[in-house]
This record gives sequence, C-alpha cells and structure tokens, in this order.
Amino acid sequence: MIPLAVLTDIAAELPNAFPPRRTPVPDADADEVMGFFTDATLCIGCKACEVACKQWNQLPADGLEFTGYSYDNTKHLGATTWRHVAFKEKITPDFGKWLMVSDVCKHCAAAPCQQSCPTGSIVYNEFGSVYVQPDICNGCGYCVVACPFGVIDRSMIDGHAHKCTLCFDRQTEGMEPACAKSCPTDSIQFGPIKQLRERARERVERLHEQGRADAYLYGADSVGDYGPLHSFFLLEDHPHEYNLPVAPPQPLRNQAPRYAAGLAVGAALAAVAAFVFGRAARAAP
Amino acid sequence: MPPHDTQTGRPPVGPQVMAEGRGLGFPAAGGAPALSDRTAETVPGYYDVPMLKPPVWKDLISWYFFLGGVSAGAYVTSRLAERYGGPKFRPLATVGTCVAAAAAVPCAPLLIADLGDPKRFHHMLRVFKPESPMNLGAWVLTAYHGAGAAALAREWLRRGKADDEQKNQGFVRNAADGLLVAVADVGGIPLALLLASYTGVLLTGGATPAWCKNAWLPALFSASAVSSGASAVSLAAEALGRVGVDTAADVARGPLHIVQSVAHLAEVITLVGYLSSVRRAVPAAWGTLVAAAGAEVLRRLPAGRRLRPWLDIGSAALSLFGAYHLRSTVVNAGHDSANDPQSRL
Ligand code: SF4
Repeated sequence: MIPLAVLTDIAAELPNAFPPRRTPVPDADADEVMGFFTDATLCIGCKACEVACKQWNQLPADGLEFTGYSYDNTKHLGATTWRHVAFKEKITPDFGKWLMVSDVCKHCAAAPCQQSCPTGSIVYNEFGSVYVQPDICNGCGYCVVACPFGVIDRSMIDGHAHKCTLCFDRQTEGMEPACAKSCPTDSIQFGPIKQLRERARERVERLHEQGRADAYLYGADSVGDYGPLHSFFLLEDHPHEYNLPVAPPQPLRNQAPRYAAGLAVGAALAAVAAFVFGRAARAAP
Repeated sequence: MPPHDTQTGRPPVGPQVMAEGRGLGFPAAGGAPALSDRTAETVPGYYDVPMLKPPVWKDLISWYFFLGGVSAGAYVTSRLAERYGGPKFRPLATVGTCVAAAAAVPCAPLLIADLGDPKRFHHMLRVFKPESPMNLGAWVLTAYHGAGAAALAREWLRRGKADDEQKNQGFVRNAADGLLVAVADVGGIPLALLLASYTGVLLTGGATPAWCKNAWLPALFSASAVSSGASAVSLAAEALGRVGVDTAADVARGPLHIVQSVAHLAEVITLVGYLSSVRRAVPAAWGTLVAAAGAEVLRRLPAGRRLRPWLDIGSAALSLFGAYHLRSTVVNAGHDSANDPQSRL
C-alpha cells in the first residue's frame, strides 16, 4: 500500500507543477542576456570561486580527498560543485607549465539539457541563463546524459538535478555572481554577454601582440556546430587539456530520421505479421 | 569510501591515476607539438577524468526497455492476428492481449522507481514537449496503457461468446465493441510501435558516445520488440495449450514462426549495423546474436507432436532472454563509453 504521507506529498507538489508558469525569455542576442567570461591566462588556481560558490549556494562539501595528480582535488563539476578549477601540470622534457581555468556550466544558447528535460524544469530565465527549477525537477536523469560537457548531475541527497544557476538569486537583486565577485584576478568576469565578447576579443588581440599566439576564445561564437556559450572561455591550449570537448554534439537536434528508422522497421514487421495471418486465414482449414 | 563518493556516486579517479604513474602531463618526447597540430589522438586530456557524466539510471531501465518492447510486440502481433487472421485466431488474440497487458503493468512502476524523486513522476505530464523523447515517451506510455485497457475490456466483454453471437447483440453493445476496436487498433498499434522505438531514440539523445545520434538503435529496439513480443505470445499460447486452454496454438504456430524469424533477421541485421557504427567493442553483444540464432535453430529441429510445444517454448524463452540481454548490453555500453577517459568529444 502507498503510505498516506506519500499521497499528501504528491498533493503538495501539484500546485507547483500545474499550470506551468512561463517567463519571457530574451532572445540570445538581447542586451539583458548575461554570462561569464573566464580567462585562463589570468587564473591563479586559488579556488576562491569554488569556495564562494559553495558558500553562497549552501552546497555541501565533497569530502577531503587528494587526487595526487595536481593541486586539483575537486576533479569535476557535479550536483554539489558548480565551479571547478581545473589545474593541470604540464611537464614535458622541454618545458613545464601550469594550465588553470575555472570551469562552470556553459549556459549554452541552445542547451541539450534544456531540450532533454521532460518536465520543463530546465528553462531559460529572464537573463537568458539555463536554470533548473528545483521544485519541478523529478530527477529523471536525462539531462545528465544530454549535457555534452558533463556538467549537470543528479544529487544523491535530494534526487534532483543541480548545476550552476549563474546566481539567479543574486542577479535578481542586481549583484554579480559569487564566483565573479570573489575572483581576485578578474579571471572570471560577469556582464552582458555582448559586452563580454567584445572585451574578450580585445584581450585575445592584446595577448597575440604580446607574443602569446596560442590564446583563443572557446565558445564565444560556436564550438563545432554547437554554440555559442553564454559562459565562454579564453584558453591557451587544446580544449582537451582542460577536459573540454572540441566538438560537443547536439544529440536532440534532428530526431526525425531516428524516429523514422524505428517506426519503419516496426511497421515493416507489422506488415509481415498482417500478411502471414491473413494468408493463414484464407488457407483451407 | 570517502564522503565525496557517497554524495555523487562517482568512482574515485585520483588515487588510481597516481598509482599507475600516469598523472604527469604530456607524454610525447621532444616537447609538445604546436597547438594547431594537435588532434584528439595526440592530446592527452585532463588526467583520467572522464569528460562526460555516466547515466544515473539503475538496471531497472533495461527491464523497462525490455518489458515495454515485449508488451508492444505482443500487442501488435495479437491485434493484427485478430484483424487479419479472423475467427481462427480469436483465442490467440485473447492470449496476446493478456500477455501485452501483463508486460505493460510493471512498465510505469519501473520508470517511476528510476526517478530521483518518484513522488513527482506526474511532472512529466505537466507539459507536452515532444522535443524531449523522455517527455514523449511518458505520454506514449500513458496513452498506450489506455489502448491496452480498451483491448483488454473488449476481450472481457466478448468472453465465452462465439463470433456470430457477438455480432447480433443490439446497437449499444455493437457500437461499444466497434469503438473499443477502433481505440485498440487505430490508436493502439501506432502507439505500440512508438513505445517500442522511442526508447531507442531516448538513448540516442544522450551525448554518450555509444548512443549519440545513432539511428540504428531505434530500429534495433523495434525489431527486438517484435521478435520478443511474438515469442512471448508463442510461449504463452504453447504453455497454456499444455494445460488445456484453447489458445489456437496449433494453427498459430506457422504464422508466428514466420513473424519470429523475420523479426530475428531484422534484429541481427540492425544489431550488426549498430555494432559497426559505434566503433568500439561491445563484447556482450554476442549474447543476443547467439540467443536469436539458437531460438531459430530450436524451432526448426524436427520433432513429434509431443515435443513440438516444448521446443517452441524453449525457443521463445531464448528469444526473450536475448531481448533483455540486448537492452542491458546497450545500456552498459553507454555507461562504459561515458566512463571512458579516452572517449573525448
Ligand atoms: S553546459 Fe550542460 S548543463 Fe550547462 S547549459 Fe549546457 S548542456 Fe546544460
């Protein structure tokens, strides 16, 4: 028997879910679309952003574990880790350098996680960021496989999917996100995405003038056939060195051929069944 | 286990990397090539941390895919047997409808149990969003349950009645019968085909390399649904025939065998297509190939009247095993490919 408590819980959820509320979403180029520009050449790997994010968003600690491969003991983003400072010690016979960048949800302009969400929990908010409504998510886990950046994850604590909100709550009060606020070198910059892109392009030009020819923008325009990202990066090495994909797929685009393939095979086999049963019916008893 | 893993459920990556001495940057002798020369093969990646998150689904999802397929296949087989096979196959249609219903009953609970927050399962139905295969699937499953209930209700209303008796029982009863048939066939058959194949599309919507955008998967799941559904009907008909229920097992054997064989052939072709398109080893897949081949061989063995039903039951059971094995193989291949630090996008 279903206990009464479960039924009252379900009843309590109903007004949240019905009817679905809609927020007017600015189009991707509008002035009010906000984003992050994370500049790897300025990152000193201090992890202030990780701490500020955890503290503001009241996220639990992930435990104390040493990876042993670098000063990165966070390893990856997750349901309770919304900023992750990647830290790679790149040592070869000829040179050594540290690659550092603060990774975060990319707030994709066409986000697979948003497309995949079957409850409509994942929406674009009025700042154009991808937001998981915690009172709607039922923890189906589809966004976890849809995100090509391995960002969003389902929490074992409450069973819901969580990721960076771009500090939705702070933004509605006119404040910048906690990570950007705490970044001591301005490696993380927050602002209207249009202005950020301009500023980032100027920065790349300046770095090239200084002879740092490897500097480039990741996600400012598009990455392969994907993009742009509302949270983009300035990198100085191959994206894979930072665990970022070169060609993230858009798996939920263009599904018609896949449905067609499945239905065609099913229909063809059904036709075979109809034919053989019809023939057997006409055959002499 | 450290607390990190109890919260996220992820395997630890660091100590293992350290133990194997693999954690130190770029391995190429003679320095790193220039940025532009680096392809996915020459760049080492970020230690051994996988780029993607593995699916959070438990094994229940394979059972759901399997039972949904069996139910859809049995439903289509039995509805078509009645529609095109006529009175001869009435008993078979009854058995098949019951098999489809029995396989459909656990589907929704399995799906709900796999949610992180099961008491919010109905949130899937608060929007209609066919762009998300998960949402479309929730609607299809709900509607399919309705069609299955209509087919079942009709079987109940006609129980114990001969065909001509059924035809003349007054306007209201005839109209109700026609309506139920329309819902069960015109609505139910397309829904069943969609139920069988959407699960494949669902997986292809993941960034997971073993699934991503793979058009073979829905075709494979459809073929497997028909082969396992027809096998489930055959198994039930033969087994109930053993205990004296009239299931038309003798007349149904011929047509059912053809449906099973053609569906197995389609299953093997699409499975080989899938395996060649994912370009990574899926070692467990041979299990399904062997099961399909074994089922075909068993059914073709020469046997007398007494042995025949048992061979058919064995063959159908093998085919059902192959269908479950297929779902869990494909789901596991997805997990493996997402956990593989080498599978960078
Ligand atoms: S990076 Fe992943 S989680 Fe973030 S918006 Fe894009 S798809 Fe969604």
